[in-house]
Amino acid sequence: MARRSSRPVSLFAELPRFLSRAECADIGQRVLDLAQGGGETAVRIVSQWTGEIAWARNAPSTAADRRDNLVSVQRAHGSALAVASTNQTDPDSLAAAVRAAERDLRHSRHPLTSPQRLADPAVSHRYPATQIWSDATMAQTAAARGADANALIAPARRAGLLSAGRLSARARGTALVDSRGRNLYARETAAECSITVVNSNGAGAGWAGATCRDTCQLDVAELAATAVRKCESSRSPVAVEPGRYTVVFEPQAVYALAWQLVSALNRGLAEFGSGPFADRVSSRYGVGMARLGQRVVDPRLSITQDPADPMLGIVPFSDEATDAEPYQQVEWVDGGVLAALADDRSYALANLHRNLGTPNASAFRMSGGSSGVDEMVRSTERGLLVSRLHALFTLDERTLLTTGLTSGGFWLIENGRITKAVKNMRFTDSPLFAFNSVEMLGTPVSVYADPEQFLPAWAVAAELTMPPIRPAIVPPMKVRDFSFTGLADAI
Amino acid sequence: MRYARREFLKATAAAAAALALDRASSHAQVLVRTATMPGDAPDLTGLALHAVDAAQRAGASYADVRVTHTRTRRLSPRIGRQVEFDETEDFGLGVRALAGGAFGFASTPYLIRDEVERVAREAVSLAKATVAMIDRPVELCEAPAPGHASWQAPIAIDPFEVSLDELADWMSGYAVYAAELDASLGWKLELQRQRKVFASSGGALLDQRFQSTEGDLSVEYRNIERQSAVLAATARGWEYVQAAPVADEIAARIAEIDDYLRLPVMPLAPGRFDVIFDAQSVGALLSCTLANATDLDRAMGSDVDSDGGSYLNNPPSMLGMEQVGAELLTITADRSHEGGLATAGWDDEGVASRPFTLVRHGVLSAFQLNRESALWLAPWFKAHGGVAQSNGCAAAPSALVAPMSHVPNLAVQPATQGPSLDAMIAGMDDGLLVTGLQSRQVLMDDQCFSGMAVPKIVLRIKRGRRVGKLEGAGMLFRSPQLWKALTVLGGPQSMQWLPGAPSSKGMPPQSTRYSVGAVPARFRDIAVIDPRQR
Repeated sequence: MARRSSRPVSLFAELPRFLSRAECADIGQRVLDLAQGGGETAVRIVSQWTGEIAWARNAPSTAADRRDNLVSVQRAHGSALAVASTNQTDPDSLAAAVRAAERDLRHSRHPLTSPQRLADPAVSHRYPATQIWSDATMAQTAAARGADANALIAPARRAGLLSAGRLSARARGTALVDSRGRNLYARETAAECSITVVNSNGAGAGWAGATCRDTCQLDVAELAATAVRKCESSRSPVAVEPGRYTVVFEPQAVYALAWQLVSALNRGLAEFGSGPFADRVSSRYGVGMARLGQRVVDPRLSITQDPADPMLGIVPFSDEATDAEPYQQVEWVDGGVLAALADDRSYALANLHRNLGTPNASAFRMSGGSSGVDEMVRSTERGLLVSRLHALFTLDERTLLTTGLTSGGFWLIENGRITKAVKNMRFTDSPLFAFNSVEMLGTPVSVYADPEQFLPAWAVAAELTMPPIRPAIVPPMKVRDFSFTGLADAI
Repeated sequence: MRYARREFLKATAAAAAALALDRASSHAQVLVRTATMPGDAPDLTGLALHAVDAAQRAGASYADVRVTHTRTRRLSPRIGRQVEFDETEDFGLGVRALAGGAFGFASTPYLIRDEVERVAREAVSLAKATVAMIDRPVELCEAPAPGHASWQAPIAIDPFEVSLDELADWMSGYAVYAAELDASLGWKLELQRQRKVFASSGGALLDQRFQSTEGDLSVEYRNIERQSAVLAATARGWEYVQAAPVADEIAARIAEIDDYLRLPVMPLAPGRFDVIFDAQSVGALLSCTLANATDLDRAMGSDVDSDGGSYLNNPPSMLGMEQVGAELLTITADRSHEGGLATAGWDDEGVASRPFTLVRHGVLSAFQLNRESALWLAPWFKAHGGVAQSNGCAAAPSALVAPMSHVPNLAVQPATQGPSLDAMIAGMDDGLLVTGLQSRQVLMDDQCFSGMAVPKIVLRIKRGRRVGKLEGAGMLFRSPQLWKALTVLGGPQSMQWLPGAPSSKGMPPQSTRYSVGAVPARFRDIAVIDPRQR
């Protein structure tokens, strides 16, 4: 094996906030050179900088600057596979990771692994051009974040309310280098803000949040005003009886339901007979069938993934598999009909005679209409207006029956007007049922795209300090007969 | 075990020499000098002290530094004798600096002198950038200075010294054993060790070594899966795995599934029932209710945007007064409990671990505190003739994130003459038995107040015998009403220690582990529903 000299990975006088294309390529090449004993090698690198400020009770709690890496070395030989990772980038650490993977490889026999597990050099993937970088986000200073945080806190303070939240800028490099000649890199930025305003007796709360690539697009004044307005109109909430209601969902609430559905778009699962998109077992083939081609939601709804969409851009290659498959433009649901399901390349090769999988990025656009939330409220005789849903838990994978809680603002609608703030409630319903009971649709907008926000605490792994960025665009929606099953006194 | 002064000086002198060498290297070497090979380990203590010094030079009135080296090995057995491995090794250094009354935090994975300098300056700079926003300066309560000391989780056999062959054989052997019984195992073995060095401008230099060992085991038999706690996560070494009666456990779970299948399915009629929860289920209920509700950050509204609040939202008036459970309920917290996942010599602010009582005879008697939040209760402490003190709940899963208050090890104290689970069941005339409830099956609101449990196993008990099973039953409750409905607690012989639900805080979430000790318990008049009813 030709061992490289210990020349530096970086020529910068100061360490970069995250690893560049050249640095990732160099790290990748070093790992490939270190590999011994044949077989295949792949290196996946994620490197991230986060600048953030968090505040609570109208005062900053911590301003932070955090950096971290993940260098994951995968060694495969025949049907054996082993992975070793480090957050270090020096030659000794990389060598230690390679040796660890190779040591483990000798004890590993992965039965499901075929030689195609690593990328096929014959397959020349074409990756979409994506717009996921902002110089402004990268250049944002701590002082600028502090000023923005001040602008987020001040309206609550003036109104005698309490604000808590977080404002962050992130920059991240993702790379994949493998022994079959693939050398991929993408850099991205994200600006994120979440703010919750509560009144002093803790009886009402208002939430607002946003995710975008360019920090200049974060309208902090608007976010603060929204959270304050929702909090002020949530004073003295009353309890309403559980039951079925006509519900006007703001986009953030629709996102929670849509994310449940998008996460279930799995072809392998469906053809195994599981999940909401499994249909029946074919007597001819003895395998399950997916509900492809069937209508699954309201015909006005379409759900698409398009990495080239400037508002939906993502790192163009899958970060899950070493196949580094390109994320493609996909119509998951077309006019209410299930048009595609996600799969990976090994499934596609084995079952579909295709040489390319269809990875699901969970970054999606849901089509909408032209109605505004105000118009939806005006047209409602009696119903509820929901800001946000969280703590979702799937009770039944087959129907996608889900339970969760309302939060961040919840009101009663009577005779076309918002009349009262309502105590939060537990809902038990399925996104599939809801999206088949649509009465009105509004203009799709970008939402605070953080799936972790509505996962229960147990689902949050310790390793989520570098969550991927997954934008989403969804409409507000008016739905009939949505089921609330219990009161939740919490704000 | 404490550092002798001579050893400490020797260590820091070696560190200084190493750092001088680093300094001699060119800037162009910055990315390549973070050695992790055995025998060339970075000097964590020297770097921690250097970071404290750099932060003070940059203007910090107080600074604390954590440096961590974490190694994780995960094994998953596959078909037959096949095993899949996954290894991770991480380093990190984080500086928290107080300047002008505000906190700044900066962290890096690169353990080199120049970078440590930058991180320390950055933390101070961030603190200064937010000074204009604060109404009153952050203060930390007094804490006894721990000086220079070390602590190590008491383990007999280091799991990382066990050969991969032995690990693979051990795991695959049980997979083969289960297959011979027509069962299959789903499991992972996760071994983690972490060295954490803490240094502060208060003079602390603490070197701690942690270990956790976890076997996530489930047995599938006749298309039914049962989780097992036989290798539940603990801060013990390989001796814990060696001593675990895994074969007996596999056989017991198979027998349990057989018994379960023999029981008739009974109609689910919503209503109110007396319910016995086994020890694991009581631990899950505690994890999801009082464990989070007694975190002062949540109670004071500091976490309302990320994790939620607490129904115990007026701490000064509730402490020592609020009845949060029945009189027989006493809950203790203890980060010095041997084998506990949150066990440490000191917390991540250098406060020595000590046991305290969270709930005494049903009354709220303490909140979980760190050095900052303890002062929020200073008037209460003063009114009760004391001074505000942290009870050692500051924690950070790695040096790369700032420390926050996290849940310590908790224990529901058993009743001295309390019954065993079997005796409790024998004494029930008509009711339900819930076993194996996991914290992920307890769905709480943001205030840890109202919740719904969706256990997998609910059995009908009549005249002391299991007579049927309810499929898909759920239980609705409010935390104070649930714990006040407690009527019987198990005895000391029924105590079990299991991992609590991960203590997840902040955004993005940082998650720490803790252990929960619990006994079986009987509750009266619990609302049972069909949670799938729309």
